[in-house]
Formats: sequence, structure tokens, C-alpha cells
Amino acid sequence: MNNAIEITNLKKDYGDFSLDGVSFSMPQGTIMGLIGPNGAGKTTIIKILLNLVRRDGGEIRVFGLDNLKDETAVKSRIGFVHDTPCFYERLALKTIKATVAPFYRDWDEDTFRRLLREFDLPPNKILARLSRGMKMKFSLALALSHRADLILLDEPTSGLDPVFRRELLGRLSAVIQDEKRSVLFSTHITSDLERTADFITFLHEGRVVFSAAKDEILERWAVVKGGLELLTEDNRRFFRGVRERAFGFEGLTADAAEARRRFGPAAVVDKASLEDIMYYITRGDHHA
Amino acid sequence: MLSLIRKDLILSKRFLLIFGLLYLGYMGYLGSRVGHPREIIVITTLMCGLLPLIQYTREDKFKAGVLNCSLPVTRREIVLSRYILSWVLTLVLYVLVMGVIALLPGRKFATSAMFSLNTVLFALAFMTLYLGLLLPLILRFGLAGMFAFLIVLQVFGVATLLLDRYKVAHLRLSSLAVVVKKGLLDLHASLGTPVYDSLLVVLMVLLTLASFWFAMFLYKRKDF
Amino acid sequence: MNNALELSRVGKKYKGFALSDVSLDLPAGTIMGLVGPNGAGKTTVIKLILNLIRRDGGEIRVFGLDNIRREAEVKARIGFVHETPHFIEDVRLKDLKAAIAPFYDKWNEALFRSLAGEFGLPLDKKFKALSHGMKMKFQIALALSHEADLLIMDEPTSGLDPVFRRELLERLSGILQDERKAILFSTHITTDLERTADIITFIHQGRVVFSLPKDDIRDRWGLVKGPNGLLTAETRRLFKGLRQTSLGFEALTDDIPAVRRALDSGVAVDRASIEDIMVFTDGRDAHA
Repeated sequence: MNNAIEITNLKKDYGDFSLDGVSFSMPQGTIMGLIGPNGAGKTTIIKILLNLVRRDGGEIRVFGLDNLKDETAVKSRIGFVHDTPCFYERLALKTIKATVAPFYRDWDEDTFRRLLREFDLPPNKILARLSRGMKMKFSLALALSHRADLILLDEPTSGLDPVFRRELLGRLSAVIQDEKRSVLFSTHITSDLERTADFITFLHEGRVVFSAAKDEILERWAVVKGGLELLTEDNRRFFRGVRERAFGFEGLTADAAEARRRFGPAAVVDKASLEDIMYYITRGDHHA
Repeated sequence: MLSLIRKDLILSKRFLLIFGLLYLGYMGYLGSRVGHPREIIVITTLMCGLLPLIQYTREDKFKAGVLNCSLPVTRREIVLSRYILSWVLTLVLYVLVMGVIALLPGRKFATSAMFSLNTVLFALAFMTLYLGLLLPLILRFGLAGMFAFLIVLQVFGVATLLLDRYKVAHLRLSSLAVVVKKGLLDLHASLGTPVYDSLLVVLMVLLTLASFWFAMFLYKRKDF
Repeated sequence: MNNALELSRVGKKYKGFALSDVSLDLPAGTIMGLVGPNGAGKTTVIKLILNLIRRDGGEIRVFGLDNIRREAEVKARIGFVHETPHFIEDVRLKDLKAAIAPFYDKWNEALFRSLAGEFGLPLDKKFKALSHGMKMKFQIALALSHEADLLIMDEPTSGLDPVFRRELLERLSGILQDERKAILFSTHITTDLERTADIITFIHQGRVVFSLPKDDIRDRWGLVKGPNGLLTAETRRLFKGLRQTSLGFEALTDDIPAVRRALDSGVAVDRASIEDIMVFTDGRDAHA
């Protein structure tokens, strides 16, 4: 399968934080969600991909091209949506478009106009006068209007109400109905990912904890809740993260089937949500 | 009250220190080169009074007024604390600038002139007008208020010059000014200096109170 | 008077938007979640409680005290977190804290330091150097450090990762062990709400649609799915929002028992999540 993105051994050192050999791949025609605690490195990776930030080591290939050596070719195939505004706010939407469009050989004016209509964005309106959600939609309209094969979004849904989010995500899903387009987005709102993403990459302290298909993750990972007496040394080592409380423990495991065998009816084994996984891995005690 | 004043000082300490020292040096130097007391007083007051006022326009820039009004204080207390702080800072800076002028060699400003009652009264009167007019506007409108004030002042100045140049309704502004000045001098003569000066002080206090009342009126109606 | 907060018929008019007839009660010892689309009026309600904007009508009482006549007293007992943190940007965190702490008699310096440590707040850095999430954490630390009886938080978790959110919500629940306290928070992340809030208030276009305990919502609001044939003038009246496709309809109802009585087994009725309620109340009936 062809990969939209291939990141190999990416390194970046910021002093008090570093990306420590990050590697993962994203197949074409899929939606991948990038999750991780604040400061885990999600925005850094996206910025390095766009060469906004220089890396200290490693390789990034986008559609097989090196993102540095073939920078222009790569960027012409990427539509980006940043979490903070990057357009000049005092201009009208159509003026902003006029400054951005000429950079893309495949700019599709019809698509842009259609998207503005669908998103209910008046072309003459000044960007500063739009709400955050509308600004996000505008960025998305620009990103989708030059036949980009890869859409990169950094926290596109933060600050947006659930109605808007559902609409935005629905729009993104529609985008990849065309098998060749791919979407990578980072977010804190894991429930959105559970609904929309095909693949999930979990970043923690500058490393990849896992990068796998969402369905597989949700099937295999589980939270086990039971009495403290079940927490033998051996059992402790079984979990990826454990929280002990007064009346029992909660443990995260990557092997739900084995958990059921081991603990049987003595403990409750629930499917783990992405939030659970993040929580127990970052806050739980690790013995595995 | 103290908490409010302390808060404003803590939040602006670097700003006040850096610009305060700069102004001190610059105004001190400038002042020593100019012989006419009133010019110096006006410019010094204008510049020194600007510092506390800019504190508040900075707050407006960062929209930190939301913080102020979320803290356990009433709007009245906020306005009062700002009047107090603005006056104190302006006075302190003014005195310091005078001190610098007094210390600089070759100054043209006579010491007797600097600290005479007349000069002091003039300085206070100017401060009253200056702070009295600007504070309500700045507290309510922030930077826009300051700009509005400056623009209105310019317009007023131009209008005055025009009115003076051209006879309007058989009247010339300069002749009007002469009449007013004569009237005040007569009053001064008839009342005697102590009474006249006391009246002046009372008037300044009343003006400041009126300005404070107006500032509160505006600030209480501000929506954040 | 057992209500921490009471709003009676509060109104506020803006050009193009009006909050009208808003009434809600927040009993001591409870957490209320405020939801609604962007622009519905949540921030306006919060600003009215803090008297940051003047109300046009109605009454607001905090622990029985009028929020305007006893303004300073009331605010001494409130810990606030604003949606956008407003501080003078080039001042260091520790100076900001030094400027604010003296306003509160019950300021707890030890608690603040421990929170700052836990949240990872760099007290020597200037406010502008912080990420949005860190700015929010700073606000939260301040709000929690003076033993406030009422916590009012506007989108406290925006930009924060799920791990921190979960811990914050746990901390908030912990605070309510003291039953004299109460918490009001608005959020777009409805899963957080469903986990933590006791009462949920939904605001839409400046009005309170409902303000109910979570369980009541669960029992009364539902998603109804069924064949188009069942849609008559009578049955339509049961629904608050309706989507129709050629294959059938999906509708929102606020009266599950009535729907069951009227349509019985002809339809499938599921509990509506807060997000469902918001999406359907959005007012756009979709006919595909």
C-alpha cells in the first residue's frame, strides 16, 4: 500500500523537550488522528513536516518525495489548517484567496466558490469579523481547493461547539471518499477521533506509543477494574498502566482477550476509549 | 484600595521604571535649557502625567480590564484607586523632574521661580485640568479615548486660532481673553491673594471631584 | 437559601443578539454544566454573573446576595476562569499572582504553589510565553487557590489534553465534598459534561432550552428512528428536530414516554446524548 506520509526516526531537540526518534506511516486514502498530552510533540511534528521548523535528524517522505529536497513539490500537494490564524486578518476572504491561490498550479476556483457557499462564508467579509469556527472553515476551504492529496490539520476542532465539529468532521470524511486523498489531524478531543479516524498515532514525551488502526485499538485495549487482592506482582506486570485506589484498582492492558482469560469474572473488563488509554499510560504506574 | 494600587504598580513596574527614568533624564535636561517656568510645567506635567495614563491604555490593549472587574472590588473602588495612583505618580514625577532641573548646571530656570506659590498653583491647576479631562475618557475608552482627546484638542486649538484671526460676531477671541484676564485680576485684587488662591484650590478640588464622578458614571457602564 | 446561584429572568440585549428570560438555579453541592452552540449566550451568562456587563433585566443572586449591590462580597467568594485569559502579557506569572492574591482574604499560598508544581507552571516566565493550555492552567490555579465557594469557569478545558481534563474534573468533583460549594462550567466537550455534571443547562439562541439533572435528561430526551410512514401531523408534534431520508426518519424528542405511548414498537428509541440534542436543536432540519 502506498503511504501518504512516512516518518522515520525523526529527531528534534528543544532543550527541555525533544522528539526522540519518532517513526510512523500513514497509508493513502485514510484519516489519521494524532493524539497525545500537551507538549507531547504533535504540533512540532506537523511543523517539521511543513519545514516550518528544522529537524535535527530523521527522514520524512510525503508520497515518496523527500519533504526537504522536494519541498515545493511536496507542499503543492498539501492543504494545511493551522490551529492559530496565519492569514492577515484585516483582509476580505476573497483577497486572502487572491494572495494564496497563485501558489498552487492546481488551484480550482469552482471548488473554492462552491465551498464558500456551502460553508456560508461571504467572500467580501473581513476575516477578523468571523467567529473561530468560521475562520476554521475558511482555512479548510482554502486547503481543499487546490486538489491537495494530503490535508494537514492542527487542532482544527478546539474551541468549536459539537454541532460545528460534527459538521467539520463529516466534511473531512467526505473528502477522503476519493481514495487517494489523505487527512492527518491532531486533536485533544478524542471522541471526535473515535467517530472519524481510521488510524491513530499516540505520542507521549516525544515518542510514539502506538500507531495502529483505530478499530484494532479499540478492540484490543481494555480497562480492567477489580479488587486490590487481584493485583499480584505478576498481574501488575501485565498492565500498561495501573491506578490504585482505596477500594480497588484500574489497569490498562493492550490485550483484552488475555485480560478476560486471566481475571475472568473476578474483575470487570471494559473496552478502553482513547481517552482511557491516554490517561492510564500517562498517569498510571508502569510495570510492563 | 491598597490592593488595587499595589496591583497596578506590580503589573506596570518595569514599564514605569524604564520610562520613568527616561522621562526624568529627558525632561530634566529639557527643563534646564528653558527659562520660562510655565512652558516647563506644562510639558513636564503632560509627559509625567502620561505615564500613569499609559498604564491604563496598556491594560486596555491586553483587555485585562476583564480581570480587574472579576476581582472582589467595586467599580467605584477601581476608579478611585486610579485617580489616587495617577495623581500620586504625576506629583512624584513632577517633583523629581524639578529636582533634576535644580541639580543640573547652567539651568535657566530660577530656583525661586520653580518653587514659588504661583508656580505650584499653576502646576496643580494644569494637572487638575489634564488628569480631570483625560482620566474619565481613558478609563472608559482606553487608547481610543486618548486619541479622541488629542484630536479634540487639536480641533479646539485650530478653532481657537481661526476664531482669533477672524472677527466672529464683532468679537475677537483675543479681546475676549483680555476681558477675562482683567476680570480675574480685578477679582484677585479685591479678594486679596490668600483668599484668591484658596478659591483656586477649592475650584480645583471641585473640578477633580466632578471628573471623578464623571469617570465613575462612564466606567460603571462599561461592558467587557 | 440553599442555592449557590440563582438567575431570575435575566436579560441582555446586544445589536443582533439578545439573552432573554434566562432563569436557572444552582444548588449548593452541585456541578452545573452549561452547553450550547457558539454564540448561544454562555459567555454572556457568565459575564452577567460577574457583572462584567450590565444586565438589562432580571435578578442574579449569589448565596442569596445580589450580585450588583453586594458586588465585592460576592466576588470574594467566586473563583473565575475566563474563556480567554486576560492578563498583561509581558508580566511574569509570579508577579501576576502577587498582584492578585492580596484581594482574597482566604488566599492559600501553599495550595497555589502545589498546584503550580502539579500543573507545571513556569512561574518565572512571562505570561505571553505560555501556550494557551498553560494560560488556562494558570487561571485555574488562581481560581482554586482562595477557597472559593463558587467556581465559575468558561471553557476551562479548551486546548487541554484529555488527561489533564480528566484530572481537573476529578479535582472539581473532589471540591464538592464540601457541600456548601458549587461549580458552574461551560464547555464544548460534552463527554466531560456527561461524566461530571449533576445538572446540565442547555442554552440556544439566548434562551434556556432546559436546565435539568442529568438523569432527567436521560429519561426524557431521546433519538427516535423509524419509517417515514409514521410521520403524521400529530406525531411530528412530538419531535423537536427531524431529519428525513428516503430510508426513514431520525428525530429528537423531549418526551420519550409520550413517543412510546404514541408509536410503541414502530420506532426505535435511544437515549439522546447532549451532542445529539445540540445537533438536532440546531434548527436545520435536514431533508436528504
